[in-house]
Amino acid sequence: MPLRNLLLAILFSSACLPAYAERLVLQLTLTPTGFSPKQLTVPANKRIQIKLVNKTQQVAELESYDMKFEKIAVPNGQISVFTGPLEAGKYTFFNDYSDHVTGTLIAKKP
Amino acid sequence: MIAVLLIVFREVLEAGLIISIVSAACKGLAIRAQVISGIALGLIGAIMLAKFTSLVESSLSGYGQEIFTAVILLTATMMLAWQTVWMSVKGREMAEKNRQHVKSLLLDGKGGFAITIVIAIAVLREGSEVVLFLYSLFLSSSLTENSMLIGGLSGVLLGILVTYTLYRGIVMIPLRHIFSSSNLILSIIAAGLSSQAVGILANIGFLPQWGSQVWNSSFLLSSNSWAGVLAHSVIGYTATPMGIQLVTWCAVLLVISFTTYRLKHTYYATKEKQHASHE
Repeated sequence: MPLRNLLLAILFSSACLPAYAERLVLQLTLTPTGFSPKQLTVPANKRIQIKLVNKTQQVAELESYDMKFEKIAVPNGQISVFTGPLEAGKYTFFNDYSDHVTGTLIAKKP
Repeated sequence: MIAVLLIVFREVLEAGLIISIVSAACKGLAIRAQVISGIALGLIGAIMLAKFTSLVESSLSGYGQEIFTAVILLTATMMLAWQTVWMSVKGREMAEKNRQHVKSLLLDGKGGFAITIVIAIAVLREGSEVVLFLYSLFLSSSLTENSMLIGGLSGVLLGILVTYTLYRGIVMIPLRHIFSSSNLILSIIAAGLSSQAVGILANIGFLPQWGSQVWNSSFLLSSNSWAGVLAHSVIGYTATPMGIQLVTWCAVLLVISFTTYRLKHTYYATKEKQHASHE
């Protein structure tokens, strides 16, 4: 029961949280051959949300060290990861549960 | 099969590292029951969490998993802090009493539950990933790909084996040395967990970042490397920390050390007083 209380507490406290700034939403798909698109381009210094649809038959984990996210995506599931504002530069993300499935994200100065 | 083995092995080892270090730091206290029940609780939780992953993910307008993880990490931080403070007072008391007394003190169960929860959380975090991963392999692989499942299971076994060896290795260090530094070790783990938690909350915008990247030490220790991953799970290392992560890390370490110091101080002060009044 503590877990349920915990979830309830989270639910209520989150209802009190203020609305947050708009995020730039990017679409990403994981196919058996890799990420599509392989490269994302975003403006620097903006909050970002990356939506990933896992179109493979296996569990994947979308992870990035330099953008600090990691999240599990079940087969045919959709997840969102959040990052930013990012300084201009090149960032990498990958599927932690598979070898050599990587993608890049370029943050450009507007 | 080797890839599967490595992934599962790594997850098990990450949880195992925390368990080994925490148990080694608490050596001298009889905590076997707490460790075992922590692992069992964590495994049950991991299986349940794996079942509800997509539910947690879609809740709270997409922030569900982040908030859940952050709350879990902060709970572990508080439990470790409690354990450290408790040990600094009770641990001394125990060292001065005989075995029988120690047993009755532990049966009070006031210190043990913190360890159970910390270990359960370590297993829960990595365990739910392993459960999901192996489960989907089990579903997606036909009989010919059974090697995947064997790889996963041997990864679990290998992880447990290495963890145990590691634990034996840490425990070999003389007890006295561990006891004197165990408070510091537990405090550093707590600091690492809390900085991970605020990092997650800052990423989803629930906390300010205070600088998205205060420094970049990837040339020294890359977050991608094995050492970097292990440093991440034990001390919360990240090559590009946010300002708020650094502040939290230091603050937690300071608060725990200061509280323990003060409590020890008052404990010895009252002891001395008692001593004086007896004479």
